[in-house]
Amino acid sequence: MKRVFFALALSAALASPALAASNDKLDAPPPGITPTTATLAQVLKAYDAAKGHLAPGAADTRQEAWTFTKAGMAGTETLVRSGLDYYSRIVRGPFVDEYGQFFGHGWHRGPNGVVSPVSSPQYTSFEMLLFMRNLDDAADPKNDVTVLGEVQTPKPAYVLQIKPSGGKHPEFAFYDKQTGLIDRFDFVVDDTRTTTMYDDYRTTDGLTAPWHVHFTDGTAPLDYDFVRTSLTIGKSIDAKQFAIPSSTFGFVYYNGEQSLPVNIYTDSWMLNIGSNRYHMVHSPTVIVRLNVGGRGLDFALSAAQPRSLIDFEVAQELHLSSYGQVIHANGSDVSYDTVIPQADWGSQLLLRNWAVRATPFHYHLKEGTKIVGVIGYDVLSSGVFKTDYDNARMSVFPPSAFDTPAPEVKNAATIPISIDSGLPFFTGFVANHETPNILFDNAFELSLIFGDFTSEYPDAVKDAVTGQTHAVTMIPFADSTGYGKDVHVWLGQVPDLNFGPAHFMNFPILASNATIDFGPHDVDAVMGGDLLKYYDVYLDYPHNRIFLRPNNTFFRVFQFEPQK
Amino acid sequence: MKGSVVPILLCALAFSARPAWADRDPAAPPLGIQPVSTITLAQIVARHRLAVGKPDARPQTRVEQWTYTDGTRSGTQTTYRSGNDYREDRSLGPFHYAHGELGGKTWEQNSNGLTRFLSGIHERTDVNDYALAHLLLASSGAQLLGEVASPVPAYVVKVAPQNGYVEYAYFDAATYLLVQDERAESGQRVVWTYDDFRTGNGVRTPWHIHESNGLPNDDQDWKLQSATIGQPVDPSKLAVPASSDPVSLTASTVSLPARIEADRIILTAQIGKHKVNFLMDSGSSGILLNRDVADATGVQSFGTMTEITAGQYTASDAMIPKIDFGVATMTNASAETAPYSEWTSSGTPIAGLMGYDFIAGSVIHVDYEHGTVQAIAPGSFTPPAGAVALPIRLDDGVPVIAAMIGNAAGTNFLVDTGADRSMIFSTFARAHPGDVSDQGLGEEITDSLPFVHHIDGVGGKVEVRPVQVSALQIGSTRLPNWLFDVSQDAPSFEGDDYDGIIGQDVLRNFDVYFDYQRSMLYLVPNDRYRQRWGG
Repeated sequence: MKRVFFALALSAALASPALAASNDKLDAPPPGITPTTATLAQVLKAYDAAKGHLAPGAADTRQEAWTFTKAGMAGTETLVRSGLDYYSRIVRGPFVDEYGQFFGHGWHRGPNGVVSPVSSPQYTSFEMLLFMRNLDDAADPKNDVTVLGEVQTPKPAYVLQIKPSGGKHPEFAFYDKQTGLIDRFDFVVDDTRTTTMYDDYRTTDGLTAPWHVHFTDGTAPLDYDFVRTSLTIGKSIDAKQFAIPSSTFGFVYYNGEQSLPVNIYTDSWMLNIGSNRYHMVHSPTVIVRLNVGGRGLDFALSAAQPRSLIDFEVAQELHLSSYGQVIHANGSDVSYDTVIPQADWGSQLLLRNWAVRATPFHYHLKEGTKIVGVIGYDVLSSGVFKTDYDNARMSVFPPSAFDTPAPEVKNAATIPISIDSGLPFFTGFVANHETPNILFDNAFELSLIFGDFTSEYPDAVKDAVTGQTHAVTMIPFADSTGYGKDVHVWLGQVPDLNFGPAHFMNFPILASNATIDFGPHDVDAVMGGDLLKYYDVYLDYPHNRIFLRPNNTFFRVFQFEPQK
Repeated sequence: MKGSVVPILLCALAFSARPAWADRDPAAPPLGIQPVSTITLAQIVARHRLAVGKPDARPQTRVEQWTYTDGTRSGTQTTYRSGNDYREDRSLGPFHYAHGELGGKTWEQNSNGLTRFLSGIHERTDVNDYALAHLLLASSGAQLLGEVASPVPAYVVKVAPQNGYVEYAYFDAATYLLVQDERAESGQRVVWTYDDFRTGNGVRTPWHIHESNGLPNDDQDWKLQSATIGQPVDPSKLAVPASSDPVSLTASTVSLPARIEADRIILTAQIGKHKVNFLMDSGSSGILLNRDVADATGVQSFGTMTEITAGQYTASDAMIPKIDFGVATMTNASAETAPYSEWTSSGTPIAGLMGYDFIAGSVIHVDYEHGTVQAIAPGSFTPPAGAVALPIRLDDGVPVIAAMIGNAAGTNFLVDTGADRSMIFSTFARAHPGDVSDQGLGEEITDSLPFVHHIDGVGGKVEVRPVQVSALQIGSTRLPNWLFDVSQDAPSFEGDDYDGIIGQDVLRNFDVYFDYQRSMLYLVPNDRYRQRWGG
């Protein structure tokens, strides 16, 4: 299922910065600049005086409220912070997202009311403030700054060019000649020149900051506009609101243990592992037929999909509301959040007012089977979901049924997991090297060890064919011509592999020098569908664990020694 | 054997996590101590002195021959002593180290033959040694904690002098000899055990010493093979060895094959058949080479050891036959190998660190603004006019200067070309909370990014928080409203005696001259400086 995504991610990971074409347009100074006699020291000094400083000794707390429009959709945000603890509530039409952090433990409650721990920094709550971080770039001594001149429109301003240390593109800051403050900031994001405008500066506790921020990348319908409506600094804050809440599952309806209809389709394909060698991959996809608006739609079930998805075209065919979000721009479809009024999984499990992301994708699994959506963490965390690969069956149990593990998993192995932003990770060993960064993902077609691990422990994943460390192209010589430009995937021979309950000896597993982007969490390896098909898999997210019970296929394929 | 030459690598690229072995506070009392009421600290000290004995009337000279193992390597050590003067020479395979004291001045010679005098940055060690020898002085902070049954029945005395380390001394309950000593240094618990006591010139001393910090391959072991006491020692045996010149230049001033990317100084050398990029890292006390590069170029490695800077990693000693910069050459250079490599934002691979042993070989002139690096023969170097001249101390092979944060003076700031940003270490921040208070920018950064910040370094990460101080003053140069990273709970990275790091954010505003042989650093403001701050 994720083969396509994987390939895309690899491409992104291997894009060489040195190969990125420089673009004169991206780096060109803004038009209309005329010479000025102002010096850098004068401009920066005036800015520093105009901006002011927070009154010393104030408590490190803030409470603020914003209204915003993002890509056509209006919303509000309230943000409360005390030190590194915070709570934010973001409302966009029918969608409510809440984020928080308390004593270093982050969390997110999504529009379906489902809570996930977040161990990596999340930036959504702070978007409008992050647009203000640029304002200090010129003052940062790590950056090279020159005064280009001044402009007269829309306001007289000095224009400074900032070359960030290690950056590829210059930035341009417009310092208002009258106020000394920054009116405009141009910089490049992902090879697109963007402009951020700042106005309505107000002073709070000695610090002057903009209360209106407008961001555009030149595509007006997708502009962001933020207006601050209140700000309080230094006032004491009740810490209760920072604490992680409980999930609510008002969108999922089922009554007790249910047997759910699924299909298991096993795809077999050849993976080129170099030197005219190929590795046969047999990977299963769990297919769920949902009835939505009278149509039978095939969704994939993914243990590592933070939020559920539906194909953009199908969402349009179903007339799923965009709630004002822009869905087409520059001739392309734009992903948007929507709500499926009702989706029936058989007659046993109903999803009502199910918030999903409509995004352009589809996957022709086989003739007559087109995957048009993904069921992810929000649904799967509502109960304990069991996948029986051998018999193509699925069951769901209420969480309370597993408060003490049910009898049927008595002899199953338990994998404790940690959820990060809806992704399940567990700790395992590869050739005695422990890593907590193994992703559990039944929808990933193959189990794989990634570059962060193979580069650190090349001896752990020797090439199964040559018996040698697959590191020769990774030596960081200055005169190497190949490094970083080629993806290497090889069949590794791991002498001792502990993935959850499975303790494989001399196990062949695919390895790569490439890294993969699953967000901010490092991923050293993934346990994918090619291994999970040997088990009955119980996703017990409510109790932060997964049960794996070997199935008949397991006993048919593997020689094993029972644990004593 | 305390105070012996210990190669360290202070690399400011690196930064964090407490090592896995550090489950307990390294300064915590030993487990299993039972209270004791039948003996006092004074009685233990008195019996210990009796057990050790007093030196006889013979001249206070000693010549000792030791066998020595360091992790997986073995060698020999010879010690000459005469009064307070001493010299200790150690050989491990092809490597030779020495250190000593002569006329009140302590010195070290590293495995590349570079000799330097020590200024006393690490005086905590001396403070503890004095306290341990004077337990009944109130300043020793000594306290009898009780007795333990293992490893041998012993009385445990806690020693905690002001400005020193917390230490636990074990006095054998039967002999009253010091048989074990545990000291919390740089976030580690270092344990020395002593046995095979023998008497010479009236004094009982251990003929077997073992040192362990709990890390794999880091144990050291000494066994005394012979001791000659009271015989005259040839003064030449105590002499400070001349410093070698490990770098050969083709002219009195040469331009090194270098470029500066994002303020990182990258030197390109030929090793074997390959070009290798090194980061010129004044924060490194030696030369570090990527292990894969070493293996591929036939560089021979010796032994393994565990090191901690930003994180824990395994390193080996190595001898690089030739490091050829074209205009400058190092032959048979002693180095370390480790799994270190990184790529710059433009994709340039960096496979090593070029630290003290290279920088000390000449005067290194770094022109940050124009991206050039020169090596100048020390004899032909004239300090530049208009420079800020700063005395440096090189106790650990890294340049240390005095600086002021706000109105607080710190004597031990490390000048580190390998550090992206300047840092203030947690001990300095705690000692000067008013001067290390944020002036606004740190709070603004936290406001938009209220997360734990980390910086990357060799072997791991270090947790930091941004703090804008009112000013950083170096010599006569005062830089207003300077943003620092303040490290949080990273004792192994910080070391015990450093105040912080002066990094590239400062250095890039100057032409910088490293003159290690005269222990001087010169900063000449460049156009970047003038544009920002005038002058």
